[in-house]
Amino acid sequence: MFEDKKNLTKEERSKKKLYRRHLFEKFFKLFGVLSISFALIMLVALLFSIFSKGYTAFYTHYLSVEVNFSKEVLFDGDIKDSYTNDEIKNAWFDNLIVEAVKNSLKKNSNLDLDSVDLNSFISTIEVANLRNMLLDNPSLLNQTVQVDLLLSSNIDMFLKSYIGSGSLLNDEEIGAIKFLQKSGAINSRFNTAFFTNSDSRYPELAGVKGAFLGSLYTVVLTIIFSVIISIGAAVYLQEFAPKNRFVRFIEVNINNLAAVPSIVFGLLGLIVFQQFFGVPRSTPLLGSFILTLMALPTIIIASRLAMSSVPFNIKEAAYGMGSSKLQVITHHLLPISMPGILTGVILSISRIIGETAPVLMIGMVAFISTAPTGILSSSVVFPVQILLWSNSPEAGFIEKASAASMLLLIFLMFINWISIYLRNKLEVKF
Amino acid sequence: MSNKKIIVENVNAFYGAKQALFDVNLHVLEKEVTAFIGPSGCGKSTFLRCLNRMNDLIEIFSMNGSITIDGVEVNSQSLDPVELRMKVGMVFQKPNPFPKSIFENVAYGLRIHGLVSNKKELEEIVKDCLERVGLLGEIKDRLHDSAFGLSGGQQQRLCIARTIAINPEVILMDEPCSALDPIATAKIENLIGELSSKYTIIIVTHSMQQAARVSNHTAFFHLGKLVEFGKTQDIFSNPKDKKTEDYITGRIG
Ligand SMILES: Nc1ncnc2c1ncn2[C@@H]1O[C@H](COP(=O)(O)OP(=O)(O)O)[C@@H](O)[C@H]1O
Ligand SMILES: [Mg+2]
Repeated sequence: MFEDKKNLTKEERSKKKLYRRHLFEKFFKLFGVLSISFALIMLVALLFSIFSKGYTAFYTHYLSVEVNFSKEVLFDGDIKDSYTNDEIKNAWFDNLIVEAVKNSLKKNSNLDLDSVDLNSFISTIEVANLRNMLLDNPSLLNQTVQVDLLLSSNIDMFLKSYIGSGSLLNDEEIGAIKFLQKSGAINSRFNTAFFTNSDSRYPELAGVKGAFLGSLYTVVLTIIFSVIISIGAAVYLQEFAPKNRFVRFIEVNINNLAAVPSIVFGLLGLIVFQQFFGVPRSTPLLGSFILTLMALPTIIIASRLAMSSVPFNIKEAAYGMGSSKLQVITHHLLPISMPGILTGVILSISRIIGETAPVLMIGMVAFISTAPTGILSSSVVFPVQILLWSNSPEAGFIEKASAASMLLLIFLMFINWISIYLRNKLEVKF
Repeated sequence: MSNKKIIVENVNAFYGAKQALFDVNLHVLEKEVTAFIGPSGCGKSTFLRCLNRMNDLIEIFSMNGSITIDGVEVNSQSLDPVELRMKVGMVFQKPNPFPKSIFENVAYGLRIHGLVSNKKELEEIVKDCLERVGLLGEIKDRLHDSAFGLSGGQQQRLCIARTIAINPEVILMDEPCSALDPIATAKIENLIGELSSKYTIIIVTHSMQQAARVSNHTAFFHLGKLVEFGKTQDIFSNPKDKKTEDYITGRIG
């Protein structure tokens, strides 16, 4: 086996071997660089695609028009000196808007306004806005005011070049939009509704507030439950549990639990918490129960690791001073292992914030247009909101989905940053 | 002749099935320094840790026989180890200050045992203890800095200050100078001499010179057995046992 075919001397052979070792090292380095570059390129591509699609959701377009609160239009010819609030509430504000848009288009004589669906230009919210304006100030009747009206999502999407001519807008409508744009009647503004509204059937009105609050309630509850339970479990296993086969069996299975697919936790939560214990469906409370189950193994494992790396001589010193076991744990073990515990918490929280499958199972996926008011009100969570929007046919929702992904990413980065800061601050150097 | 503070009778100690101490009989006199010497692995630490039940932390450990301190059985069910360790303090081989400030290290025992009633008293006692171990002058303006910033010798003296803060009657020291340089060692040895007027001190050491310098009585252990016990002078100048003689002349160890 070792016979020397080429009759090389020992030195020559070792030289040859050395050359091959260096060559291998070079290949290995190259491979490493390639892998890192690949990962980086993918990350940049991901961020670019999300940001370039999503950033447009942060502004939106308004049409500046003169609205004449004409009694003729509002009350369909029923002219009186004054009207009751009920009459004003039921007045024809949609016609008022159509008239206003028509008036601003009339200046361009070669447009065929009959084939322009003027009703679909302005967001439905403006009917309510104008109605409130008049209710607040009835003296506006028969007056003309300059107002900015929120354009509907289709028009907004056209202005942001998401949709071109085609089934959604006909050529006359596109001509109308271009005319309005040229005449300077269209302006863009920061889209506050995206932050202050919850989900809506109309893309231009949809916002992330509900999803944000839903996620916030869920995550905060999850942190509270999982940290308390995990630290309890980790301390018990580390400091109190007898070292027998049963305890080892539990330890092994905690590790197994960390590998269970999240959908299984969803199923478990559905059966145990909702059907057996009757926790109301679709609520942050139920969501947090399930996500707590998911977070537990990671936090327990990280906590135990942190606790087992607390130097024995510190514990010895504490016992030597006459500390009781509980004092050793609360005064020394926990503070010293806090950064490690925190790492576990952050790891699992970053994971569960983006978790969709298990929360889908418990119905946090419904269309909910009001922000949750507490841990027992129905809500969606952020990733599910993204899923819902990206499944919608309207381009306006796709844009919102990208923007929401952006916010989720930024939120996660923020959490990670806080955790690194806290960890460095709490770290005990030996 | 001072009275017997600790009386040890027929102590056998085991780690699992392995016996580490064989039938040890010994007494320690009050306010004296007693040294335990012997080759490494002969059971000095094991025996020392029996005296404040530190071996309770080791699950496989068990012992029989009787150890009484002031006539109270150390291993009796009715004695809380927390109470025992307040009375019998311990200084370890490797300096092990808590990852806290210098001040907090000394204040810790006072706090957990509720030995002070107000902040001023706490500060006074902490400073007094640091003064007694000769540390106060060196670290006056670093009182609230981390204890890990101190040198090894300073850390060990801090550990002694921490121990005397709760005013024990007995202080156990397990090779307190083995990690220190000669100057730091000399300081600790002087300190032991001073402390022996107030406390009963037992020191484990692998250095026979150290035992000769600091102790009044010396016990020589070999392979888990107490070979010889007597006045330090007698042990060193006139050992009765052949093994003791071999050890102190450097033939075994
Ligand atoms: N935690 C332990 N588990 C098992 N055996 C131990 C343990 N600590 C010490 N021993 C054994 O007990 C004997 C005495 O050790 P020790 O008391 O540390 O000796 P010394 O302090 O004199 O060097 C040694 O043989 C050692 O291997
Ligand atoms: Mg030892």
